[in-house]
Amino acid sequence: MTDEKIIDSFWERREEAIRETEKKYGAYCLQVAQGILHDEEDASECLNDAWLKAWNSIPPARPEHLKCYLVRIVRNLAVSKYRTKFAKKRGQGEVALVLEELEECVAGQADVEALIDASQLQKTINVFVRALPAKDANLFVARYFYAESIREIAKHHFLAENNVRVRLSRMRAKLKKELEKEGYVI
Amino acid sequence: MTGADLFEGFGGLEDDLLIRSRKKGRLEGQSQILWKYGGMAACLMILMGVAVTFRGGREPRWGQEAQESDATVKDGEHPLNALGETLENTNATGGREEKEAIFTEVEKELARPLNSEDLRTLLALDGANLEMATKAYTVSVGGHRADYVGIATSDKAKATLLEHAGEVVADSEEGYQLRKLMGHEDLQYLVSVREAENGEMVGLLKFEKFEEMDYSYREVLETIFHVHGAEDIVKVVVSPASMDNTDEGRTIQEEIGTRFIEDEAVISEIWQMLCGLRREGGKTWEDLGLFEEEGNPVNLREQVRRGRYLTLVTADGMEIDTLKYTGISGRFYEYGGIVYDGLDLEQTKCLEGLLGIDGSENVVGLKDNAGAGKQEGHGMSDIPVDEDNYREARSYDAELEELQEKISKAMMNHELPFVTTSGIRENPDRLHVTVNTRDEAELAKLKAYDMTGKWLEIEYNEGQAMWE
Repeated sequence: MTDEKIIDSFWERREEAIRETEKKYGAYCLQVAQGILHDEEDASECLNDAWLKAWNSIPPARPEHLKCYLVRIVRNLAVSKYRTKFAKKRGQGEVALVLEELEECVAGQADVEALIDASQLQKTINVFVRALPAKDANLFVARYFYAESIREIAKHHFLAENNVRVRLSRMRAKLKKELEKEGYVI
Repeated sequence: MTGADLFEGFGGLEDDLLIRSRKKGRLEGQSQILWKYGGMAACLMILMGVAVTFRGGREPRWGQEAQESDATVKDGEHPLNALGETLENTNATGGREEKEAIFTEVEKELARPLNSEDLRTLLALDGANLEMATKAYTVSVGGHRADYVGIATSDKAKATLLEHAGEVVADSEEGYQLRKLMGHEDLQYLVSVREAENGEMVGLLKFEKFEEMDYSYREVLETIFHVHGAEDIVKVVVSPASMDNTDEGRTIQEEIGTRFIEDEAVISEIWQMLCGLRREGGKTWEDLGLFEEEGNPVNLREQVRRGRYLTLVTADGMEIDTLKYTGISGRFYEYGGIVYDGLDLEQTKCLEGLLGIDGSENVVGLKDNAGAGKQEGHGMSDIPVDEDNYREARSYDAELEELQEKISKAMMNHELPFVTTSGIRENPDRLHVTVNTRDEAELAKLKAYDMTGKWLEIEYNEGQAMWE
């Protein structure tokens, strides 16, 4: 079924919308959730929550790219689940490494009580990624949105693993500067 | 703020950034390098290379007219060709801005997902990448073991395939990554990529069959072609069977012509029938009932009259072009010699009506709805009525197999570069060879392999380049 027809089904409140969504994007979304959670059961739960969220949000939403819309929901639910699960201990899998890397960008800020404007932060990140050269932006998104491993990224982009590490490290340094400029990091 | 807050913040990345990141190709990197070091001269070189790659495509299987003529796609038919010509002219007279605009167009054209028409242009017309064409892989997908075969692509296709190599599906033991085509969910084609000292080794693979002996065609449609319902199919193209290429056979093919089915209700009807097909017990050519008890094939002209090739065109421009139907035993089958059961008499009559096969009341060897195994009458004396005949074991003549081996070896050794496929197909007494030349001297080299002069069946088809 085409995306347009699936979205129409959501709008017409037909249950087949969920069935068709699962059929078409279930495997892909599961892969994204598992990439973050590294737990099949958690990932499946996350997917069920995602379908419910999609059902509740379409309408009024009419996503232009259904796949991106779903992946974003799944990813955010997975991240949220991950944070709850590992609130008081060190996490596991690739995400633990990703978080360690991102800590570099906000070094020394963990103790600072600051109210973060989430939507403003997202805007800053979008502007930052958009300003990167296309290839670097793709590496950055693969690592910090999808939590892909360095090895996977290197494979997918025909680069040496070390090259990927160096590029990401440079981009994190740039991001840190950007966050400082915007007042997120003091 | 913590790293986790920042990680959560990445969840708001906009659609285009997410889509772009999934392309995983080198397009962006290539274009930057071009601008930085190569300037316009390099742009033109790349552009012309790509334009050459996209030249010379042919009509698909349903384009019988195209198969029967020497015509190739003329310059300018593909958008990239047109852009190439414009850029050439602009280089003489135009300014930088104009050139940049054209280059952006080229990037856009390269960045869109390849469709079946694009892929046809990448098939080997010359300089075939035969090493990749001989590869075969088995990939685990959706609970099945899926067999893929290499397609002979032009060496010039490498850059295009590399740019359109998407998500990794599997890694082969030889170190090849098997990837989806970028922008596609289906698994009909995979791009094989391996790093080598002198650049990447790149090839194109096409799905052939599941390894299991029993499976339904619906599983193939869903797992491999990502077709989940009739609405995913926008068109069904029905072409005449082409196993008889004598003048008489061609005349029949012309009379039958090609029909295009676009009516949603009719497509839905066909979809229902396809969903009911099953491969059971690994049936192959021998089970098709295309030869008589004495071992002679059923009159080839009759096979043409009652045979049709189907191409399903999907909503995203891909074509599923391996399904064939023969009214002689009322069965669907595929290029790899895979035979499907599952149509009852009523469905067969309906299907043959839709496909334009005359005399559907003469169908033989079909069970009625109740599955009582009742044989229906038939109107042709040279067609076997006993269903057991259809399952008769038949071993190919040793001489024929020997010939096939010789020709395969010659293809591997580049001694017959104009031969694109060879195999024993519908006619079990002939080696069917597809060539892309009409040069008599070249053809004589091929014919010299057949000492008896009776085994070879030569078909001219410039665009057909799959090695089976």
